[in-house]
Amino acid sequence: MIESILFWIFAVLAVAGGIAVFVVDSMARATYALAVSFVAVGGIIVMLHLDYIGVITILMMIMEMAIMAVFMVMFMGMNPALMPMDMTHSTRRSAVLATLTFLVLAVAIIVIPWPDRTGSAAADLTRSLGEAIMGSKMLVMLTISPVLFATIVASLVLANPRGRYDRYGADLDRRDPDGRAHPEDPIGGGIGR
Amino acid sequence: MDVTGLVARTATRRVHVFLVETPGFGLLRMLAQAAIAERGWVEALGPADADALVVCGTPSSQLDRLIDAVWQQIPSPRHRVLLEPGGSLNDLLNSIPAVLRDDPRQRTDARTRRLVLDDDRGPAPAVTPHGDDAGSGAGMDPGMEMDMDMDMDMSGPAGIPLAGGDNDRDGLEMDVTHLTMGPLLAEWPADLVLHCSLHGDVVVDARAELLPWPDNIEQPPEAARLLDDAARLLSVAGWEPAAQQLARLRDDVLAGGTVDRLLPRLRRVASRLRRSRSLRWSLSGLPQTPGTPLRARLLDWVQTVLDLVDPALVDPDAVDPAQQIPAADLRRPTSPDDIRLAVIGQELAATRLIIAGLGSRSRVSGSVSHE
Amino acid sequence: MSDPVLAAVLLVPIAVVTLAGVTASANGALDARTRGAPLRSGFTAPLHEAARLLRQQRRTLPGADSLLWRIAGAGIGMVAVLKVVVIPFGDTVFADLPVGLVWFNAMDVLLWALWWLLGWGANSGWSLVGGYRFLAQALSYEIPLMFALTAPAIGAGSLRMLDIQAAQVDLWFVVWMPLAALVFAVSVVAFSSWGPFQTALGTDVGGGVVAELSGIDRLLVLGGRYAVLVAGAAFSVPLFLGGGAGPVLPAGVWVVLKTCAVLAGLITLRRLFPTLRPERVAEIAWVVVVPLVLVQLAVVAVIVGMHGGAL
Repeated sequence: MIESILFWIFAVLAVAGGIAVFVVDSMARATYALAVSFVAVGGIIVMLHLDYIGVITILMMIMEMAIMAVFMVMFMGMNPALMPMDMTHSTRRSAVLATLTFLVLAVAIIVIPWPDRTGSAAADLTRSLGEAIMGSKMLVMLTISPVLFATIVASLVLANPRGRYDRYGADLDRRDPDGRAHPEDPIGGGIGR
Repeated sequence: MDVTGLVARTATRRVHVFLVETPGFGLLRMLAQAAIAERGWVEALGPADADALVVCGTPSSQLDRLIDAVWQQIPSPRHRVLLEPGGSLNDLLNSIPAVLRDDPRQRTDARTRRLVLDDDRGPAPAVTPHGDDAGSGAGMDPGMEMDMDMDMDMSGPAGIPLAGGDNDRDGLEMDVTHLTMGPLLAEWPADLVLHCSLHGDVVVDARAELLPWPDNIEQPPEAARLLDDAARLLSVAGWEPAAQQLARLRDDVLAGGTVDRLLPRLRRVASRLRRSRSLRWSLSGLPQTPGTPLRARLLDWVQTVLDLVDPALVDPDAVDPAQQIPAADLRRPTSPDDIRLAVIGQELAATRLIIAGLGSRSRVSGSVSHE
Repeated sequence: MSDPVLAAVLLVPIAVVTLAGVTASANGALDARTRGAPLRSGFTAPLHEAARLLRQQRRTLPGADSLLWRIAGAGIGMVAVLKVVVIPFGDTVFADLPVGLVWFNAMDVLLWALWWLLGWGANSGWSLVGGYRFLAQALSYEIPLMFALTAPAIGAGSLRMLDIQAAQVDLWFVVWMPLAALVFAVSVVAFSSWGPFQTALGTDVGGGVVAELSGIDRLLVLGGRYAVLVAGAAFSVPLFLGGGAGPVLPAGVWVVLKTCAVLAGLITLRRLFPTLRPERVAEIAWVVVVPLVLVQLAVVAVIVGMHGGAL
């Protein structure tokens, strides 16, 4: 009983949040409406007893939206961020696409002959889900993930140590008018370099 | 039982006072601060935080207009008093809680104004033809009133102009907003107005304006003034407890505390400031500060106070004011142009530190040189 | 309604508010002593402030996004309560999540959103700078905090708070993971935006995110800030300080006592440091603290591997 009430609360929140993203007229509101939607989805995942994945979803989505709001505001330029603005574009095409996707998924839910449960649920659902998805590729993934992480860090370093490459491109050895070798960074870091 | 009365009495035990210092009336402000602390009251950081507005000194008509705007922003219950030299500070402050408790009066006051402005996001520009209404009304701090001389797009929400764009110090296009700091800003020199153009919170350009001082006003003793400057710098640097220690010492100097009582405490504070690694670290990293580094200046101030207070060092025959001014003070930027160059390229927190590091001497020495 | 649920709904908020009041009162008394104000005025500060703010008019500004602004203000205290419900008091946990540790982390990330929204919603320059300052600070403390939280999880081999507490029967985690404990304590102060990490509410930006708040809205934020501090301190007890372990007294009392001890430590520490500016902290956090915490994790992992479990 309580479980189905909770499910419906989360489900309605998730859908309503998703709709709100396109109805509201401010970037901050749209961003956080999306966050609410994702958090509700995280709640549903927790209800499937995938606690870790559910809570991590909530964590990541809130963090992501907090950062995304900043970037959205930053990249709007000539700041209309505070302006009431329409959050939709290519309305007709999007509507068609959305309806089609919904229909395909809904039909799939009804048509696919879902298998009945055999056996009992594992003690740790998160672990068994991970093994079911990854299986024998676990070692590969473990090896690749540090490489991926290193790639991200390296590309960030190349792209933006305080914006120098951004500002001066390959011309890093140019000298300032006063003869300094490096473009001077106005704000020093905390460890006195 | 009179619950409303009880709540009202409890609510007015700890009054938050927004102090406005008219240029030249620093002594009056310091005395008010001492009286506020003695009552266990609090100095408010801004109008939203305040119950009472205490204006120290007779403001000019221009300043009066700004004070009115700040007054508009103080939430009810509120009270406003004018403190003038020779007036009774204690009577004035004691009258505040009673007025704040006066429910009918406060209700009438709250009804006669619109603190709560329309929350409709963005009325048409035509409705508010000039941004000034929104700018100096209940909306913005007058301390950060938009500078209307600048070129602005008036199409923003609630008539507040939108930002324009320009290249920032990294060569990326950023919004430019205009922010005026002072003169009605907590922990800010009363006679300085700084009109800044900001990229985010980095100052791209600035124009400093020094407000005139009236003549013949009693100034605080040198030791109190230096302690006040030091307390302000620490307050801006966010070291509340140390700032409070210095403020208390300042109050005691003003109240004529004896040397035996002042000196040990002064020495303790001085060594605390000297020893603090985090303060050294927090005040460094401002490469463009002209003159002495902030920390050295702060220690200089406190050391000078020690020299002034210590009877072993005071030589009544050699009263040479120049010797009492810290060496750092003499090298400090005092002209509006110096201030401008000092803050350009700095971020808001650094700007506040740099301004607080100027101390309050700038005006005095400035006016001396004009004579 | 079952007892634990009822207790969680009633008891936890009351306890959090009480402890937050006590903390604010102790802090106020110390401040009053330093300033030379009457000590009594410091002790009673939370009570007087609460009455004062409840009686005060609320404000809003032209163009303010009041909805988001008020949600953010009210949310901070709720986050504190949501953090406390996964803390075990002895064998009792109000919400015994198998991933209690991750839940705490998720709630602490929620503070990112709330502090920023608080700055954004006001539509005031000072507030906005305050909100962005918090995010800048968050980028510095969050990664070390996440790694610091990982250490007890590795030590206990579980994310459930009861297991983490049980793994400290022989030796408290603070003894062999001191660095993680320290980073955690600092992060608690940082996400509460308090003490040396109060830049978002700094004097230099006229109060920052609270610059435009008055009345009940201000009360919720300032109270919520202390509530979050209390929640963080309370969470360090099962994480590093052996949970409810202690002689004579019941476990629940020990948890509260240890929480108070941590809070006392934080209040004392606050007095020793000026505010640390976010742009200065960032480099320290990423260049010094993150590698140190990783070394701590490696040490913990090696010990667990060699010893076959917690020490």
